[in-house]
Amino acid sequence: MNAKTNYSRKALLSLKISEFEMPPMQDLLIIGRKAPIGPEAVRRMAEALSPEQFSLIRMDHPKIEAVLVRNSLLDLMDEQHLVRIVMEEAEKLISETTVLRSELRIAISVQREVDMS
Amino acid sequence: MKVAELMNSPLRSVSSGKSVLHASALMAEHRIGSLAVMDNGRIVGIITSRDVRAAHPNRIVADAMTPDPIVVAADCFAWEALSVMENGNIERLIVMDVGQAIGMVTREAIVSHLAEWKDSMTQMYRSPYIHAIGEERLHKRLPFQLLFLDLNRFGEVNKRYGHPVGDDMIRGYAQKLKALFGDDDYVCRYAGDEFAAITTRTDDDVRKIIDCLSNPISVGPASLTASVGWLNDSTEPEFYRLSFRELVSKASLMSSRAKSG
Repeated sequence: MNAKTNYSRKALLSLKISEFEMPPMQDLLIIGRKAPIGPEAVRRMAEALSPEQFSLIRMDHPKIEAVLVRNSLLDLMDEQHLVRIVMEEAEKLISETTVLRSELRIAISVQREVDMS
Repeated sequence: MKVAELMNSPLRSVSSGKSVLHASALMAEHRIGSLAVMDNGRIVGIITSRDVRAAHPNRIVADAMTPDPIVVAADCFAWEALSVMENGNIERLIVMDVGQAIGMVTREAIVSHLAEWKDSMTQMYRSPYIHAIGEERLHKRLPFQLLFLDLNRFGEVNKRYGHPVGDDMIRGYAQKLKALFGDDDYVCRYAGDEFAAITTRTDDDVRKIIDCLSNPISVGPASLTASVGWLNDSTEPEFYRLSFRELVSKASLMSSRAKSG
């Protein structure tokens, strides 16, 4: 009996197609000190994909090297204030080898009382 | 001994957008421990094998390098480059010539070569050091004061206390000389009980130094005085026409005359 007659090789292809999210980094990237992608690479990537829309903030932190922030968020909130909040939450999750991506929405609620007299 | 004689050349470089893994492979290929980082013909950093080990291999060189490296001119003396390295606590300098980066020099290479020029007893430089500086200044017609110091009656010290004590006294005297001269002066142990110095101090300052050296300086069990020969372009009309070797000979004879006088 010839074994070759029962031999076959097949390839099964499976495609999932979705829209490329722009920008892929959403609103924030938090970069670990030993992450595979460093701050300068992140800055260059952001600048290439969304010119002048992101700022890189370098950190003096044992695990976190830098944070990339969408500029429009900095228009709404003071940089130091925003970074402090992000760091408080991120440092519990991040290891120095990871890069975290975050979506951040700022909703401003205003209530005013005016004198009708 | 100029930096150009000690540098690694040609300068191997990598662009800041390449991966750390690529930089590591380049270093291995050329068997070197560092690369200059160049973007569009401009030096933007240095990446070393230590940087490579500390960074993730996927990172780009820009995220692992030391930015804004310090540069040194190719015709800079090795000891000047070493001083820059020690002040900045750095291991490598980019060597420039007419605006072009032409090589890299390491602290290890400089220290290793300078060791050949050092006197092991006093840790002072030996005579080739002062000759290199003197010849350079003569070539550039830069004024300087040359002092040749000869210890008085040092043979008697050796006979009285023995050579090991004599060696200790030479060491002690060398320390006092280093303290007497400053960081901007060049002092060496020329030979045996002779020292030479080049300085750009004023005549009045040099007179004060000579007065100090002519008076007994206490070193160990005895005090030492020195006879000093002193030359500069005012006292020696042929100053820039003579070789440095000839100037040293004249200064040496002056110190001998001062001793016998």
